[in-house]
Amino acid sequence: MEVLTPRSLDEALRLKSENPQAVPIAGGTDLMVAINFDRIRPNAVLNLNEVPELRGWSRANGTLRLGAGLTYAEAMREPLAGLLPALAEASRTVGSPQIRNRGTIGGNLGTSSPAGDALPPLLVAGADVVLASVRGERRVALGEFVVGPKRNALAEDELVTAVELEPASAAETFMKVGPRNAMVIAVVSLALRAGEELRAAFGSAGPVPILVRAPRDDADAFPERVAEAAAPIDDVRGTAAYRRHALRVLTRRALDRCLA
Amino acid sequence: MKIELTVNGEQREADVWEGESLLFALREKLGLPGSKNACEQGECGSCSVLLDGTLVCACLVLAAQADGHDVVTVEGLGATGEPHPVQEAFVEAGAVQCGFCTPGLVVATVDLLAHSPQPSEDEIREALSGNLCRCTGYAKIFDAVRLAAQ
Amino acid sequence: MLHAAVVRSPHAHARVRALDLSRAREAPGVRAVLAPGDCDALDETAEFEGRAVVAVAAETFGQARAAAELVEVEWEELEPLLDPEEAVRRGSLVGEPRRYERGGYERGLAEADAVVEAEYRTQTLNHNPLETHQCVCEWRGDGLDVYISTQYIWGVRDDVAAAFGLPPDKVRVICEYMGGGFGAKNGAGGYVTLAAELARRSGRPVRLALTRREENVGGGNRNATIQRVTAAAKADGTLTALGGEFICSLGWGGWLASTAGPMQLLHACENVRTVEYGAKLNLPAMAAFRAPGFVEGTWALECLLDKLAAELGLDPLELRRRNYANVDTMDGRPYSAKELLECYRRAEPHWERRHEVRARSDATWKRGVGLASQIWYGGGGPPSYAWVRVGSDGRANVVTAMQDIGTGTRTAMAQIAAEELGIRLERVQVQVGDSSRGPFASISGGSSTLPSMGPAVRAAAADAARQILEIAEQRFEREDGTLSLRGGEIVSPDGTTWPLEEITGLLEDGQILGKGARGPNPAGMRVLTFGVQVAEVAVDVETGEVVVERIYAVHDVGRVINPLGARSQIEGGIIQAMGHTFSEARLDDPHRGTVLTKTLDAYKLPTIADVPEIVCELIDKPDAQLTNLGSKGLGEPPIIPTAAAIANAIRDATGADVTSLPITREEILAALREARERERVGAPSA
Repeated sequence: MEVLTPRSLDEALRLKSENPQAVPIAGGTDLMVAINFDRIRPNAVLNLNEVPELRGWSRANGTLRLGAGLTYAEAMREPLAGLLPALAEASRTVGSPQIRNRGTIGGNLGTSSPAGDALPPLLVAGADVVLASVRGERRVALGEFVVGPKRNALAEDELVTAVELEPASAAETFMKVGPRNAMVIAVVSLALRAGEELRAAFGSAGPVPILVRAPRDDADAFPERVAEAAAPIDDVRGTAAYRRHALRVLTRRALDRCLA
Repeated sequence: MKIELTVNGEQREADVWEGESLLFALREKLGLPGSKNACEQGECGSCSVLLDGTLVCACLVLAAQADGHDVVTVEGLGATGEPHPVQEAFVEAGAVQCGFCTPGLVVATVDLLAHSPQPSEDEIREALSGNLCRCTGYAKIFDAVRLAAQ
Repeated sequence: MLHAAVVRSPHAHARVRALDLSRAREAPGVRAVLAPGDCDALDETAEFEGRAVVAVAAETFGQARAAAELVEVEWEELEPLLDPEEAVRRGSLVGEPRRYERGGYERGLAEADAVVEAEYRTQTLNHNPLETHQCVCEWRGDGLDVYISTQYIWGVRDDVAAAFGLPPDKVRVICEYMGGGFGAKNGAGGYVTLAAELARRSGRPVRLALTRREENVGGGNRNATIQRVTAAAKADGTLTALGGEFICSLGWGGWLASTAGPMQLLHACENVRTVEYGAKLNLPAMAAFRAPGFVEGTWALECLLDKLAAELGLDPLELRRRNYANVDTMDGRPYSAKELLECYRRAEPHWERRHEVRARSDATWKRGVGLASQIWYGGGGPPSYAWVRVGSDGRANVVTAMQDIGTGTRTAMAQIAAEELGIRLERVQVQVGDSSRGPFASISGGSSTLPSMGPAVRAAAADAARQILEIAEQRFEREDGTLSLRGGEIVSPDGTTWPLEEITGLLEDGQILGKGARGPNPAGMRVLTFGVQVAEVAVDVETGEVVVERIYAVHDVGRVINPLGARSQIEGGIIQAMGHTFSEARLDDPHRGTVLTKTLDAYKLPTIADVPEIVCELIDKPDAQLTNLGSKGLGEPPIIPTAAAIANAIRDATGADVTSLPITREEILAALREARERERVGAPSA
């Protein structure tokens, strides 16, 4: 096994194109578990901790750009938390302080788990994922980026470098149901943005996060719409029937909160 | 591979396997067994350390990622006979039973109090929710944090 | 030191068809490899997942793990038996079914004005001490040193000596500190044999530490149960019959803990019939887990009692008082002491809060209060020994080969010795944790460390005090038996005092050696512990979420030695019970019998964010019949009644009857639907 530690984005992209099998690592909150448990033994890992271009966030022409290396802890801090309240709320529910200090938005995208807590709030915010390689940069809508459970549109020489999205112009929120008060993988989670249009996205209730939209006037029927859009499964964390039920309840509560 | 890092204020060098965690390097290569290995997946907080001043689980940091960085472990907080005030508070409040989770809780509490010297009950709940204790039921840990905050 | 890794069966039931160790033997750093035939702890037939097949020792843990991966095993998979009811039908049992009957059960049913029946289930639970099972074994000549995380130094000594055919004292067992056990570390276990054999063959010390994944499969568990129970009573609440069939999924071994125990012991009832089955299944064997049997049995019994109270229209606390047992329910012996009525009395104001708690309900959150009581052993017993050494500086050393498993036993022993010697706590040192450096001491299980060891330490300290006073009486020319030790001084009835060191200083290099032994428990009496807990919950009737807002606990364990440590035991027991109630469950693949929840993200322990307000009280009245100390153990009692108190609070809040642990949100919603249905059709609430 080899550890590649680039010091710039250019170097990172070059190393990724030369070593397409190299697995990116930032916060390590997913990859290190797999290595510790002998689930994978990559030939190489690409350590992105030393790439300054991936850090932090910026705002230009009204669009927010979140570096792939933005941690959950950073997403919880003002002023970003005020610009993306649902993402901040989702970040607060991720793991523990130790995990939030290390885990990154880019990692959540790269892993593309149906339970990824950052995905629903990014989806309701209409996020584009910025992918880069030595061949150049491209933008993919988040809904198209995730193509299946833990599968995404990344080419083998590409890295997720950022997400771009609009700050919240309307009320938005995030809710999660888990079996314990902290440190939970969601049984089901939901992000809602209630502008002229109602937009909801959920986690852990289908193979990929799905965006459900409706006119604001259709709020009464919206919880049912969201529940119907889900394609949950039975697993050790909960049954499909419960997930659908909980989504309905969470959507109504999220609407009550946002439309109040 | 060789890594160089600052541990508890000292410049240290270690020869590590590329896939090894910082926790393993600390315990097995650097002679610092204070950080405990209990879950290997960032669920229990027993291996909590400060990496460049940030609270992390050492089991989720690749040792190679710590190359060139600063690490503080529980051994760097107090010494035998000279416990850190947070350690004294844990003893005083009876916040220790078997003691296995205690090093991680002490590091996490030091981090909490650095950011919030007078934490509310909810802040304590949030800050220590990544540190599992199987013995105490946590009530005395609340007491210890409040005591240390005084 | 070498590090070991173990190759284990990935199947619940399988046979090794072929085994190729050649690549593992040649792997870098490998110093010893063990296969079936080399060691009793290895087997070619796996009757449960995690059965050890091959063990490897190498220079580093990484090398051992890599070599273990190179072991090639060809398995022939066999059909696993996983259904406990099927096991009972087929007679696949650990031991014989255990039957108990007193009075006339059928007659009791016939006399009743109300009969309630229910089926309760409990899940498989893992101990998950934060420190996994681990040891280091090192041979020294013909003797073996074992450094180990254990609850019973002497049990490990005997187990290991037997495995290697050694005289027991050739095995030295050392456990100065350990990271939690909860019953899972009561004996040596096969992993110690493997480490010792690897050390023997390699001539090097060997460390073998289970990974968390191994711990969650083979570290022992609290077995799942199916309990079909019946309670019958007169209109005034007098119990006329209690009965139950208890099917315990023990896995491939273990023993049948007393799940029927609470039904037989807790409430007065003349007519009781129980039968318990230990289903032998292709699953990892159970191990003792903090009040084994009683935790599961109390859940069912105390939920059933509330169901009966609802049927009779009686107050649940009043129902328990009306069936208070004044003598032992099984054989009529008097209790050495019993303060359960006092527990009920002290619980009363907390129980009374239910009116105010219920009133805080709204459309979404329903609130309620429930209670449950508890009975358990915890009296300890002989043998246990301690030595107390007093040097010329007047400081005392308590020496005994017990272990402190994190319950603060060291502190308690120091307190006992300090009190007896009349010296400050800081002047007492306690040396424990080494079978070669102290006399035999009790297992730290069954809530027995303090009640077994404490009296021995007190006797040893008293013996040392007697010797000091004899010297003082000679030196100061006082009559025998007139002086005493207090506040670090020798005190005469006439008010004269001398510093203790004035006598001990005469010793120079000499020492006063006090010896103490644990005496017998009182003859013809039943020694038990008692308690009551009251839970307050809020139930979100839309999502099924339950928040436990407050738990009041009152326990009677005789004299309390260390109130701070005692409260910590209660709080720890309650939180562990809350994990049992809501979030913890070992889940097995229903077809393959393999464990699905091997890691701590899947097996969810309670966090600090789950902690409710906990109010504890201890009766703290010495058991005058029990030893020179009057103390019983407190490790287990607090975990026993919590789940039932919470379930009874959920019933109080919502009318929903939950019958399975863990209580999931889905079960709450289903129980709420049933409760609404009962109301709609006007069926009786039972």
